[in-house]
Amino acid sequence: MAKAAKKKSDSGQLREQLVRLQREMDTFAYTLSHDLRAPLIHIGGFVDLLLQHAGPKLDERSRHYLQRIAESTYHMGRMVDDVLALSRLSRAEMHLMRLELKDLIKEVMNDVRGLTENRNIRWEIGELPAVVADPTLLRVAFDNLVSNAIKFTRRRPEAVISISSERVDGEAIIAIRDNGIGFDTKQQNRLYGVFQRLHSVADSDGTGTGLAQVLRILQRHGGRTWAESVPDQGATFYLALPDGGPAGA
Amino acid sequence: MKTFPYALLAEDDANSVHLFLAILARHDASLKTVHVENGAEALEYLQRRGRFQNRTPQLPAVVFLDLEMPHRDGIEVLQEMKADPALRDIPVVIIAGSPNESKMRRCYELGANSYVVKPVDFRRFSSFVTNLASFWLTLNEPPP
Repeated sequence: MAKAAKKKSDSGQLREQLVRLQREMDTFAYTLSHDLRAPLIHIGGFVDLLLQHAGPKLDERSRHYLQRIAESTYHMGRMVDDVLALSRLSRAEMHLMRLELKDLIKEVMNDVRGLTENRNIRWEIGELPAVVADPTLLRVAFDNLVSNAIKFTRRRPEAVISISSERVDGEAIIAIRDNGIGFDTKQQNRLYGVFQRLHSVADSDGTGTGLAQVLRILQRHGGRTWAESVPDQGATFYLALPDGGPAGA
Repeated sequence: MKTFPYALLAEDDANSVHLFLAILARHDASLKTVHVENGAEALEYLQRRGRFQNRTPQLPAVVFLDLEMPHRDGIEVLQEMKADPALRDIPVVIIAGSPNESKMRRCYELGANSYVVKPVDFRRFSSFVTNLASFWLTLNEPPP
């Protein structure tokens, strides 16, 4: 067999293996998070019943301990549900269609309305292209990025959030830029990890799976995502979607 | 004589049953629930067979079905209920352990009247249980 042809079939096999491993990992994460929900509901439930039942007889410290258990259980529940959401994004059937990004952004703006109350935000929405994508998945990606931009500009008297796009070499590249607190570029490799929070709870209130979701969604579209930041001046998140949708879809 | 509506809860997990009943008792003791431990028992109860042959002739106003149960799961019970002219009209609420689109679609195709997912946060779980029971036992008019 010619060398080049062998190399090609090796990399094809490797690719298949990786796809299979990824699917096994997704199934494992899905099963685990599904199965952990019931015992978590039970812990939270019985702590609550115990507080009702014995609360008045307990001293303040014991009550405090029970409340700590309840809070930790609540936190773990959110983490489990976020892993579940992530594995469902990976397993969900893709329904690709041609969609106008500006219409999607309108829906996203509606989704995040709860976060913009009492905030002074200047939105700069540029020309946006039509793309071939799964509308539900892409909306989740933009929901995450836009809510991040809103959260991380919380301390600005005027937040400026812009969404713009350009077409480069067969890809639509969309940029979401904010003038928020940014992130430490040395920590860039942690940015898209699961349960990675680069900021304190005061600045970001999620469990840290938003960008992992964005990454997974872009991967499923055969696209790319990356970020740039100047700490304390802002961050820009990029999404690159291949023209015509994922290859071979 | 006026009969009071009650719910049939089919759930195999003892912890879940305990919490469900404790939450209801605390909220409103008039929301009556009969509990069976699996799908096979649910059908025995509904069809007045086996150890349930002498149960009250009144059918439940709603059946709360857990999806994952031994000895016939929730989907099998749903299927058999909807195929039985005597049971077909009883509203069936599927209680799922976590969100799952394909199972949800399957349940509605088979004629489920409602599909709900247990919230993992206990405060929300508590109102989930009381809302379910009060809606189906007090607001909803069961089939005659």
